[in-house]
Formats: sequence, structure tokens, C-alpha cells
Amino acid sequence: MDRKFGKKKRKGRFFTLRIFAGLLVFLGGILLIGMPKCYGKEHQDFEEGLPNVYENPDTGYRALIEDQAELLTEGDCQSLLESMKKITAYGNTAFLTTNTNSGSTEKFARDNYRRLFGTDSGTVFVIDMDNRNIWIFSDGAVYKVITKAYANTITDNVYRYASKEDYYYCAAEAFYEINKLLEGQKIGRPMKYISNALLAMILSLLANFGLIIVFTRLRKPREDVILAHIHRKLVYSNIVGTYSYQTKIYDPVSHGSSGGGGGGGRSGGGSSGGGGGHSF
Amino acid sequence: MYKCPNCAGSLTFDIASQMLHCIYCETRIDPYGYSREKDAEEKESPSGEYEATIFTCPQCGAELISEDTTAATFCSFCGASTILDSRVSRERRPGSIIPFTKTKEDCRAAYGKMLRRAWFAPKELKDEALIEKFRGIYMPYWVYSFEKKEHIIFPGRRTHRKGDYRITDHYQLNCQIDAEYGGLAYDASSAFSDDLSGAIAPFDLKQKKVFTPSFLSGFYADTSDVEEEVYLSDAEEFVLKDACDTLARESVCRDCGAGRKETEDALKNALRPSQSSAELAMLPVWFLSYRNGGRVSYAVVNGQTGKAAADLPVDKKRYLFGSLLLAVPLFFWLNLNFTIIPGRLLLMSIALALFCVYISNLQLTYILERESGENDKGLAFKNQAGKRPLPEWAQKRRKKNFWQSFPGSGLYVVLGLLVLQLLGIVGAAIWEELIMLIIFGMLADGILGVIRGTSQRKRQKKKVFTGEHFREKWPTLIKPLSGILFAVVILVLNPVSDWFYYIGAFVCMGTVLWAIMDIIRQHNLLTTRKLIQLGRRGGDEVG
Repeated sequence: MDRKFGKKKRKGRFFTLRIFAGLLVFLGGILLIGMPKCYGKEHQDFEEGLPNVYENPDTGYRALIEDQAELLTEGDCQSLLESMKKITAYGNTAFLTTNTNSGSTEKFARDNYRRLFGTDSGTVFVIDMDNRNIWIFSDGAVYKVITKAYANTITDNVYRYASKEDYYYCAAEAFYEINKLLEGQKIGRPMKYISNALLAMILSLLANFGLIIVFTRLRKPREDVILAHIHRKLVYSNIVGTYSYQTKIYDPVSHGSSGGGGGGGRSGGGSSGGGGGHSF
Repeated sequence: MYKCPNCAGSLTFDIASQMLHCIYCETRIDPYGYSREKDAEEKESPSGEYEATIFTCPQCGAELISEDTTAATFCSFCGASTILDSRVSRERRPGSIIPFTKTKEDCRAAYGKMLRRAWFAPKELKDEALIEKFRGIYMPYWVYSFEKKEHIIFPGRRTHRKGDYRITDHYQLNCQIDAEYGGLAYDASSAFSDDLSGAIAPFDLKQKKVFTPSFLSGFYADTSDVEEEVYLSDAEEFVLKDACDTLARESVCRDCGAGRKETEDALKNALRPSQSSAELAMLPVWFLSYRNGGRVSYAVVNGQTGKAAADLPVDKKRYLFGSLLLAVPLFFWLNLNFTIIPGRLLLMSIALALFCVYISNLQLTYILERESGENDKGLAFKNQAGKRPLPEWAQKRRKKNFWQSFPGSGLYVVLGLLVLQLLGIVGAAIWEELIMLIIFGMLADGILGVIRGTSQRKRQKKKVFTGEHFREKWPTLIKPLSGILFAVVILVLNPVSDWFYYIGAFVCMGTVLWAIMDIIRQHNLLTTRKLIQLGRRGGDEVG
């Protein structure tokens, strides 16, 4: 009876262990599936030098992908990294995605740039799923080419792909245009030319109207000119000022705010770099 | 007509020699040394009148004095080529005259120099045949003189703060004043608009001479129909301001706070002239009128100083071509320096549209004031049936109204917050927000000016926007306003696609271009005038 009971007890323990192990495997599987595809590998790969990070042997600049929001497949990652490799001839480059960003996309891009590349020259392209924004941030020599204006232009050109959830093409097109600019080529900016043409026409029409007003409107002469042409004699003598009396009016000063403090010293050097973005 | 004592030919005043000149026998006579029998009689006459031949335009009723019968071919005021009616009449005799010192050649040169600045003026204005029509006309002016020789007493006040108290020290100042002002001239003809006469002012009244009719020989003269009281307050205010400013700069006055904002009126009252007089004077003006459709424009040149002024319209073709030329380098400059994101472009188009509303509203207000004659005191006086005293608004200062008060200003703050909200949507940086806020604040003042305009004018008993004027103002302003509304709707909806912003911006810019063309049309309206209807003897609207 006791042995029987002991067997049953061991069987029960084994069963519990199997259930527990099954649960662990299940949870582990879920965790594995839930882990970011590129991001998860990135840390391994970063250490092992596998494909999600590339370092240009000639320049030492790196290209890397951190897809925290899991927007790309493994194939997309490899393909995108291939297209990013060209940029490493000019500077570092990174593609970052996030779905948990409490701050602004610009701040996320800047902070992550500093984390990855410090003050080195380079550019990052961010897809922020939390704020539904895309952003390009550049610094150093690359920023001289990928200026804020160009960053805005590129994001304006690619935001539609993000809206259509074609994140790979969005990023690939962005890096393609970045590379094109770094190679000294031009990118399409048709709306810029149209809007600048309209603005130039309006501003020149207004400027010419200003000239018309300045040069042809009828104006009366200034008072001093009139005074110079009339007979004017104004003589005053023996001016005496006598104190008469004093009046006091109670008029309390508002104490709502105190005066500002003295100016501080020189602030330290601010961060350089900049960029532009677009919602999608 | 002044006949040559040697050959009985016609004598005319020669500008170069400042003498009466016979073109037939080259006789030159001093204008004061020659007078007709009737001139001598008139000089002695206590009524202060002289006999003159007056030509009246049957179309506008304007009157011109001339001894020359060729005056009968066209009217200088409405530009009509017509046979003028003539009659002999007795006119008020002016006390003084400034003879022409600038010849017709000088006048043409001054006019040509002025036109060189008018790049977009129509080429018809440079037509020799038109310039030949310049006529030398003596315009009647009231010349005011003021005098004050008294001991005056006036207050001074200085305020400073001590703790929770504002402490004011009161002073009494006194001094001996010996002030004389003379030669302040205001035109005494309702046909000669104040803006034109003001534009060629001043005349140097120190050069004036005693009037004798022989100076008019060979020239024309306008008749005076504005009484001396009309501009008396303007002239007195001018004198008081100068005297007050001069005295307030004196060290004792400065130390005692006399003549400052709060004591300025008291000082002006103390300085108010004890004696004032007005004398009718004839001042020389080269005058040209040209018809522009159903309206008329004028060009005038000061016959003493050569200062020129004219109603200069804009030739739209020249203006557009000139703007296109300027737009090309501007386009390249913009391309090199600016990449405007769609949201910012939309805001910029709104700012431009607001600017156009502001300019357009200003111009329409000028048009309203000009067409109703309220900005011309002489014409306003003439338009008053039976020459009643000036209306109250002409003398009243503007009162502070709701919009300038605290709750009114609060609305600007609300508007500003709304703009900030919109800027937040398009993601502008803080400094950009501030700059745009300032621009929008200034421009919003213009918009609110349009909205509050009617009631303000009603309060000032000015002609309100009724009838033709109302119809003129709103259809013009509604164009840029509709563009603004369209763009604001897009900003508020905040769509993701750039196309909405571009469409909004281009629609708004389209209305801006339309509004600019309206502004040019308004400018051209301001450079032409309604055909005058003076209601003198003759004139289409009379009888």
C-alpha cells in the first residue's frame, strides 16, 4: 500500500515536472518568438561580427540595424544592410526602429546616435512606431551634406511607404537617397521648386509694390522742412519754475513675480548635428 | 488784357526777367510800374476786389481766371476739351503773390526727373503732347500768421515712486514769450486737392510780393472758394506744436516736467496765439490734368521751387514683367537657402494672405476717404451746403475703443494662443514660433481693423461703409480671407499626406496673387480721381 502510494507519488511528481518543463518550453518559445528578430541577433552578432553589423575595413565606419519594433524580416535586414554598406565610405550609419518611445522622435534619434557613434560622423534613420514619425539625424562631415533641409526632403519623399507599412522600402529608399547625396548626386525635389517659384513671384510682386509706395505716393513735407520756409521767431526769457506742492497716491507695486536673476556664465558647447522628419 | 504802351501788343509776365514783356517790340515793364486804369481804381477800392475774366468749365464747374482767350479750349481740372463759358466778374483781391520763377522748361525737367523714379508708370505719361499741356496757374492759398507777446504761466509735473506710493511734485512755471509765425500756406481752392498741394509744399513765403493783377498776365489763376477759418485750426496746431516742443526742450521746463504728455495741453493753452491773421495769396503751380477712363489724374510742379508730384498709376504689364525679372534671382536664392517643409509653407502662405488683407484694407480705407472727400478739408467745406461749420469728426480726436481696452487686447492673446497651437501641430521650433507669433500678431491687428472698422467710423460720425464702398471693400478682402480659411482648415485637420498641405498652400498663394492684382487696381484707383463737380456756376450735376 505504501509502495503503491509511493509509486503514485513519484508518478505525480514526474507529471508535475513534465508539466512545469512543458510550460517553461512554451514560455521560452513565446519569448523567443517575441524577441526582436534583428535586435535579438544584433547583440550576439555585434559581438560575433555577424551580418547585422558591418564595419568598413578602409574607413572604420560602421553600418548597423536595431529593429526593436520588428518591422523587418531577416531577409530585409540583410538586404538593407547591403545597401547601407555604401554609406560607410563617408560615415557611420544606422537604421533604428522603436515602438516604445516616450519622448520625441528627434530626441530618440539624437540619443541613439550618441550611444552608437558618439560624436563621430554619420547618419541614422529612425522609424518611431510610438509617435508614428520617421526621422533622419546626422552629425559631423555627413551633416554637411545631409543637412536639416535634405533630411526633411528625404523623409518627405519616403514617408508614404511607411504609411503603407512598407517599412523596408521606406528605409531602403531613405538610405538610397542619403547615399546619392553623399556621392554628390541630386535627389528629386519637385515640390520645393514649385513652392519656391510661387514664393519668389509673390515676394517680388510685393517688393515691387513696396517700391511703388516708396517712390510714387504723394507725401507731405516733414515739419522741419516747413519750418525752414516760414517766418519763425520764438524768443522766451526769464523762465522760472517754482515748486508748488506734492501729491501722494497709494499705488502698491504688484509682487506677483520677482526680478530675474543675473545672467549665467557661458554655457558649454551644445551638441552639433541635426536632421528632419515626417509623420506617417 | 495788358497792352504794350509802345505797340499795343499783348504784354505777358516773363519769368526770366520777372517783368512784363511784349513779344512784338521786346518792351519790358515792371509789373508794379504798369497798371491799367481799373487796376488803380481797384487798389483804392475798400471792397478789396478786382475785375477779372472768369472761364467756367461746363462739365465740372471749375473756374479759371485768365486774360488770355486761349484758355477757352480745355479745362485744367477735369481735362475736358470744351469751350469754356466766360464772364467778367469781380473777385476777392489777394494780398500777395509769389511770381513764377520756374519756367515751363524747368517744369518739364522736374516732371521728367520724377518720372524716372516711376518705373512702372504707363509710357503715355511721358508723351510730349501731354507734357505740353502743363499750364501755369496761380493757386489761391490762405497764408496764416500768428503772434504771441505775453507773460505766460504754465504747470509742470514730475512723478516718482517711493515704496507703494506714487509721488508727484507740482511746479508752476512762468516766462516771457515773444513769438511770431508767418507764412503757413494752405490751399484755398476746393478744386486743388490737399494731398497734391501738400506734396509740392512748401513755398518760400519770404519771397512773396504785394499782389498786382499784372503778374497774372500770360498765366491763369484759380478762384478761391474756401474760407479762411477752414485751415486756421490746422495752422494754429502746427505752430503750437513747434512752440511747445521748443519750450519743453528748455532745461528748466525739462527739470520741472513741463510740456510732457500730461502737461502738454496746459502748455499749449498758455502758448495759444493772442493774434492771428490770414491773407489770401496767389502761389505759382504748373498744372497738368489727364483723363484716365472716366476719371482724371493730375501732375503738379511747384512754380517757385520746382518740386514735382503726380498721380502715377501702375501699368500692370510693366509691373508683372518687372516682378518676373526680380523673381528669377529670388527663386535661385530661395533654392540655395531654404527648404520649406509643407506645414511651414502653408503657414507662410497664410502670413502672406494676411499681409495682403492688411494692405488691401488700408488702401480701401484711403479710397473711401478720398472718394467721399473727407480727407480734403477744402472739398469737405465746399461740400457742406450753405458752408456750414466743419463736422464734428473733422475736429475730434479718436477715442480709445473696446479693441484698445483690456478685454479687447485679451482677444489678441486668445488669437496668439490659437496660432501657437497651430504651430505646435506643424512642429515648429520655439524661436520660429515666437517670430511667427509676432508676425501673426501684427497682421491680425490688420484683420481686426477690418472687422472693427465700420463701428469705429460710425462712432466718429464718418461716412460708414455703405452702398458702393461696402460693395468695393468686401469682395476684395474675401479673396485672401477665403484662402486663409482653407489653409487653416487643413492645419487644424492635420492630415499626414503632404499633398493636403501643398494644395492648401497653393490655393492660398493663388488667392494672394489675386489679392495683389486687386491691390494694384486699388493703387490705380488712388492715382485717379473722380471728375470734380464743384457746383460752381456750370457743372454737370448742377441744376
